[in-house]
Amino acid sequence: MVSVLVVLAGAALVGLTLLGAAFAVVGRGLDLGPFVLAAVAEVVLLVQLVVAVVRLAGGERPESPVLVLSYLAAALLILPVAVFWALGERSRWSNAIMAVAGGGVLAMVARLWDLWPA
Amino acid sequence: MTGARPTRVAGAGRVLVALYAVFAVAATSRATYQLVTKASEAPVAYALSAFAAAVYVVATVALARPGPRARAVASAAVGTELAGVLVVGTLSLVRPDWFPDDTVWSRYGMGYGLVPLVLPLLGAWWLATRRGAGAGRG
Repeated sequence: MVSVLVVLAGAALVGLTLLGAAFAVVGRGLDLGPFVLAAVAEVVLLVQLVVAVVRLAGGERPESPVLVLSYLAAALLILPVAVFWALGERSRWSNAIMAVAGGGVLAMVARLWDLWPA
Repeated sequence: MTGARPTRVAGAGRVLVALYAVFAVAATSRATYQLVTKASEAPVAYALSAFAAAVYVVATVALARPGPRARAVASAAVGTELAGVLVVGTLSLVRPDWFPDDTVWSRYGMGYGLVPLVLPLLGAWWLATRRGAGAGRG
């Protein structure tokens, strides 16, 4: 993993989790904020995926390349699915859904860091 | 997904489904990791992790779908989780030698922030409230 990208993704995901939770608590309806943060995290993770593929192709080997790629793929999948799932719910719970997804992806990014430290 | 149906899951239930989905992905990834890298070290613990992951996947899908059949499947899955986390959680404390490595359910899911203990309780609560509230909606 690339430290800068992990920090960037981590910051966006922490922000997403906190903002989503805060909006859910105060009862705010569907809001653009969490979606923007999710988009930022998603773009950073996509860049990370490209970097990981290039590095693997260049001969670098983490303990298990297959797992790194499957974790990255799973992490990339969660946010778009969460956006789809949240858009079906116009109430405060849409923000709670985004918060849950942000927390989940954050945990997966931490795991990725374990699997392949910079 | 069941987005267009009038009986689709809404409100807080949607958050519960999201929680379950995220946890299903996390548990599946973890179980795959354990089985791929070190299956021989603790086959029982890792097989249990894989089983737990499968139950979370089933629960996610069943909770997201409307209808009595999905409800029954969801109840069974949530019950299995609760039994699993209580039995394995207790055994892992009483007989740690049986579990040389952590499963999702070890120490009541402490390694996962107790989420494995909280999820089935939330799921059971949700299924119980829906039975009352949803009687007229089918």
